[in-house]
Amino acid sequence: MSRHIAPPAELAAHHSAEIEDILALLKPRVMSLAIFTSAVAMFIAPGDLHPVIALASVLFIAIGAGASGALNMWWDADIDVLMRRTRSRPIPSGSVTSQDALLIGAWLSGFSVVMLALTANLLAGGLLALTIFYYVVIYTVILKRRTPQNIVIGGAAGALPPIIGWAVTTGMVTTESWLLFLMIFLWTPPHFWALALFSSDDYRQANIPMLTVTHGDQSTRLQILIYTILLIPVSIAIGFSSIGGIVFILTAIILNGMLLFQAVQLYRRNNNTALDDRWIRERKFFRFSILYLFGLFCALALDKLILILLGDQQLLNWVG
Amino acid sequence: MSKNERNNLKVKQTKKNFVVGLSLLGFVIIVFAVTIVKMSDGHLMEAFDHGVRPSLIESEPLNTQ
Repeated sequence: MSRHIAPPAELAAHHSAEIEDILALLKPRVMSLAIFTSAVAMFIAPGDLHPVIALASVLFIAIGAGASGALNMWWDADIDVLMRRTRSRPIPSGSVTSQDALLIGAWLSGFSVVMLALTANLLAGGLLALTIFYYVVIYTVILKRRTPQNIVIGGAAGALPPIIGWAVTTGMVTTESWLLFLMIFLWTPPHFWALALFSSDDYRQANIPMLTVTHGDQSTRLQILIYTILLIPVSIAIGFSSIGGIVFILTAIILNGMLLFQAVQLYRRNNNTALDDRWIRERKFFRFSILYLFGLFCALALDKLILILLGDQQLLNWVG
Repeated sequence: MSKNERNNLKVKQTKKNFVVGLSLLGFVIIVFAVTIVKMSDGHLMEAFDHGVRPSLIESEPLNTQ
């Protein structure tokens, strides 16, 4: 199967990929989400995990996430070149060849899965392999160009890292890790549809059936509101599970309130009003959704930290 | 290729080699550290050594007299 994108002529002569290009190929932003959510899950999961094992596991999860990003860019190079948002990526810009991207992605995938299985456990390694397969094959190859539900079903790939992190510490997949999965799974559609609202022309040009292209902006705004409403009980439920605490519950109430408020604002708008202010609310919702997820995971980590500190204090009191 | 271009290329290649070398060194350190941690945890395991394994012998009450 050939998915070769010819690089611009001036670059083809003496070019070899720079370190920065290779790093860009690994989608550092997507990587950072996987790193952060898996690291927090590792920290809040019950059980002792040696810091060296934790650090190495996070590194291999990050490499796995980067590898799937490289394979995604390899497969999507033909549509990336058509979209303004993605045409400066390493393959369409000619700084990395398609073959190099495929090689890097495939090698790093295998490497990260084997190393995570050896460092942590087989379950964690298997889950990382599943995540890479899901993102590359199920989302990128099968869903992305076929259905407006691409983001909904494909969102599972981005929701798996906390389950991997949890498995690294506990060697199991439990209800709490499924709740974290469900939270990211329900968060993904509103996050990406907000982006799709102000990048709709890009998707139309590349013939990608995003919801904004197939069902229009009003329907997308309604779906953003529905998924935001669905997300609220799941995130609140985490607060009452064994990993939740007072910090998380308070943070969840505040952040959910703000997200819902913004989702309602988006629903009340249309493309004409959005065009007038250059999609300011849509861009704000997109940025805030990132802060929302970051805030909730930070709150989970903070609750665990408080628990550890209180535990130590109680132990000191008991000894004293 | 002009001298300036050759110099630029050399600088870039040196930088790339340095980063690759550093990554390999980092990998060696990580594997070494993980091995040490796993070996340290290994005190719970007892390999088959053709000797008597204390953990397999049923504990007898200690004679305190």
